[in-house]
Amino acid sequence: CGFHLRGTNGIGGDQLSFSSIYIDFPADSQTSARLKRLIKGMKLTKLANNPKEAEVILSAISEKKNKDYLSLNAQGRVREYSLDYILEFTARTPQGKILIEPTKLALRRTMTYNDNEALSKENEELMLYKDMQFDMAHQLLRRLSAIKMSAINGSEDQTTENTTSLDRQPEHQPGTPD
Amino acid sequence: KSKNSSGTKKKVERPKRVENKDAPTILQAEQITGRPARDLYLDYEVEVQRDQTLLTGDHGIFRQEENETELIGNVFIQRFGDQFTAERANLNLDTGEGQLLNTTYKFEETNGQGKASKIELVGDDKTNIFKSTYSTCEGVNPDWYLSSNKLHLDNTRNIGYATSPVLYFKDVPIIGAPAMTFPIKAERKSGVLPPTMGMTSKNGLEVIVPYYFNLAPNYDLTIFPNLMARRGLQLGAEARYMGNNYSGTTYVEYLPNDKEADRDRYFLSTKHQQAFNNGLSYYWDVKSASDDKYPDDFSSPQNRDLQRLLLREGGFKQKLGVWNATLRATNYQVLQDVEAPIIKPFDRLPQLTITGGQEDVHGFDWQMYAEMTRFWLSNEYLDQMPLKQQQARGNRFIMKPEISYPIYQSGYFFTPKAILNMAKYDLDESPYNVKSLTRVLPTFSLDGGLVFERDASFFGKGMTQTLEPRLFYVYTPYKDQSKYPIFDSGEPSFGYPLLFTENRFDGYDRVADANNLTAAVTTRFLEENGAERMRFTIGQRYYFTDQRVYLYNTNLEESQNRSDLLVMAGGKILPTFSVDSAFQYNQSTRKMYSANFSTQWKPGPMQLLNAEYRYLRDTVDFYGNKLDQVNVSGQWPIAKRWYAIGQVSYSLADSRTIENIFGFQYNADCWIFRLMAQRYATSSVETNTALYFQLELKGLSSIGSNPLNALRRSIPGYEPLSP
Repeated sequence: CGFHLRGTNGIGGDQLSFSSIYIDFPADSQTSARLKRLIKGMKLTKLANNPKEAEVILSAISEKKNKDYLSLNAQGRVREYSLDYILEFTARTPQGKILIEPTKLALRRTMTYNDNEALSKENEELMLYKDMQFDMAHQLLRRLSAIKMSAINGSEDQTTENTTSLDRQPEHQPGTPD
Repeated sequence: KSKNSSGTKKKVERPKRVENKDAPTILQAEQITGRPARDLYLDYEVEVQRDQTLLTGDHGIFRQEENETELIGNVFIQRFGDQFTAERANLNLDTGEGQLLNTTYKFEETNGQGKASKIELVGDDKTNIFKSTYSTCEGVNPDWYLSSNKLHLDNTRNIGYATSPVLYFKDVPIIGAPAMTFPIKAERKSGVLPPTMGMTSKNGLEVIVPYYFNLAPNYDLTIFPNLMARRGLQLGAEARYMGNNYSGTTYVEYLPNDKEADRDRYFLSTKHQQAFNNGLSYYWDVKSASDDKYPDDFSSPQNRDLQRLLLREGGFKQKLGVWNATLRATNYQVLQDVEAPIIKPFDRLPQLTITGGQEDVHGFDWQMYAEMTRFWLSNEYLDQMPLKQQQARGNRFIMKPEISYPIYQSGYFFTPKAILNMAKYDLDESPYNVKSLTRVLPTFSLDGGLVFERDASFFGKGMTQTLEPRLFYVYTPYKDQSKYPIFDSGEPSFGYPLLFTENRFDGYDRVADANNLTAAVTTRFLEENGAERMRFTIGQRYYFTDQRVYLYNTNLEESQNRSDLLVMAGGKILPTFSVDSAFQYNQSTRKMYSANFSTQWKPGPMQLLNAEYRYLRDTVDFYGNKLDQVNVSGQWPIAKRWYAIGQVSYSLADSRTIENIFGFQYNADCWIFRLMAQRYATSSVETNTALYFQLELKGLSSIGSNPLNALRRSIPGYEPLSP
């Protein structure tokens, strides 16, 4: 039926097309921790400690959690909550070339609720947010996989490791729009 | 937290209201007499111009010494873009002082305009206008205007001060006062916010006149005096503040001597958090209300923070390397609804939690959760527990280390994991006559999945389709926990995350016996940029041995060899049309346990329609909490300048309206009219009906909250109506 295991096809959005990434998220972001773990575990790409050493910089513009009631029962009490997790991110090169325009990703989980179970629902809420953070990390990874560095750089040579940013800057700056 | 590295907004700088005094003064007239360097007499088609000032008129005198112009007949003055006409006028070009008689005016920046018997220009930024009208509407017949004996406008302080003002709308006087102030520019500035009037079935006539204090860029205060005909004057206030490492909001409502209830009524909500550089932070989040009936009388769709269970929580957090410690105390105030009583949750006085973890230590991830809690509830509340849920208060100690070895590849993942659940309880007195309980249970799990891909087409668009089968096996030995108390455990909502957790209970009082396998398949349609367009999931859990651990020993007769079946589908079918749905079906009882199906159509800005069906079967609930309802909501521009919003929630199970809201906004050039009608349940027997309207006169009130925007919670996808 045409399905093949991801990563066995050679071409396509299987692998990250860049060798190093700097993840510029708030230090306590669970999403970035998960994303880093995925990237690390796959040994695809190096995690840079410094934005200047990275080929791609992924930045969180805003990270928001929202909890609002979704449905009320006939007594006017909350019966279901909707938990929203909204992340706005962008990806660029250290030279400032935008690879992914600022994009908002919104995830939602519903949680049944009953005042009698307030304490257990507190635990459930944590679980659902964790699930969304995992989901978000995978969504980010798929977005990163869609970046085609070769098309942006024009040549594969420039994606080699240890090319210092100082060397590259003069070459690229005149060409970058914006 | 928002980190905006680039793109700081630059306001368009207006030219300052300063005139270049060295610019040449040009005089023109058909006839000029007098002596140079003294007074010049100008007659017929007089024009005096210097830099940003232009005066024209029939006759005039120009006094060169003082740099002053005096004009009579068809006088027109333009200075810094402001325009005046008058019968006669004089203006000193250097000081900006002057006087105009029988005049009309229009200020460029504020669009404030009107007519007056006299205008005094006191310098370049202050103006006194006598026996005047003031409006921001264009033309000679303004929709609204403020007439006053004296109007003082101060541009630098952005304030207008009117003496004996009378406000006319469509030439009908609607309100008068001895004096009033208003902000003259559309800035975040202290001032009256548009007042709201309303009728509610609980409170009778209501008049709310909010006042906004813009105290500093990072803190402000809004007060909401609300005069309720049947109850008295309620005072509301909201203070917001934000600093480098702290932020908070406090909201208070206070109604002294409620005439209906014959007592003082209040509601308070305060939140604060602050973090220090050494990793220490503290926070509080406290809500409180005066009495059980408060939500019946004062809750509204705009005020849903006001629930029947009010959390009071405060604590400290400390970070130390890979460790996080939290010490907190929590307590709930219950505002009882006698018809559907709430079991008061345990207080945690206090709770100390220590968590830690590291990832990729030679490929291993480890996590530790440790917690010590004193769960407390007074005898009065313990006695109110339902028969099969009798409880003890006591101390609980939990330690739960986890270790896993995740393997990730783009085409597959595999994670073996081991958990040790350790718990120790010391109970005050237990219905089962046990004071001390310990429990040590290991859990093993294996989580693995594959990701297949193919090129596919979705509604005519080329996409990547994935196929992601996933298996999850858990083993936890059985231990009889029927004598263990339940402090914070419960059964979570059935859903995808639950199928892939080791413990089918949340909280730490029950460790579910498990020998089961979850199988699920997800397929996604991905756009070229990796964006997820659509997702379908089907999943189920299979039990190899019967489950024997239950919450309240309420052994359900439906002991099964498999869980309910979960089917979910969601995403954007078209860029303007999205669906979200989930079904929970039990194959052995052939019953649907939960179902929801929602659609959203958003063809353009401010154009939105939602339709939704939600169903939840009553399970182990004691008070009848079945959900079987239809929600329809949306917003739509119904005609030029007209915007409508609405929401209907109807419970099919109870044949009862839960929340109906209808509102509209008419947006004229210089005013906005808003109307909002609501009907909603406030308790099992009571309903409130409310009708509010608001007239906002642009340029007369501060920029502030729009009551219709408070409805965004009820209408998913709602876009605020401007402004």
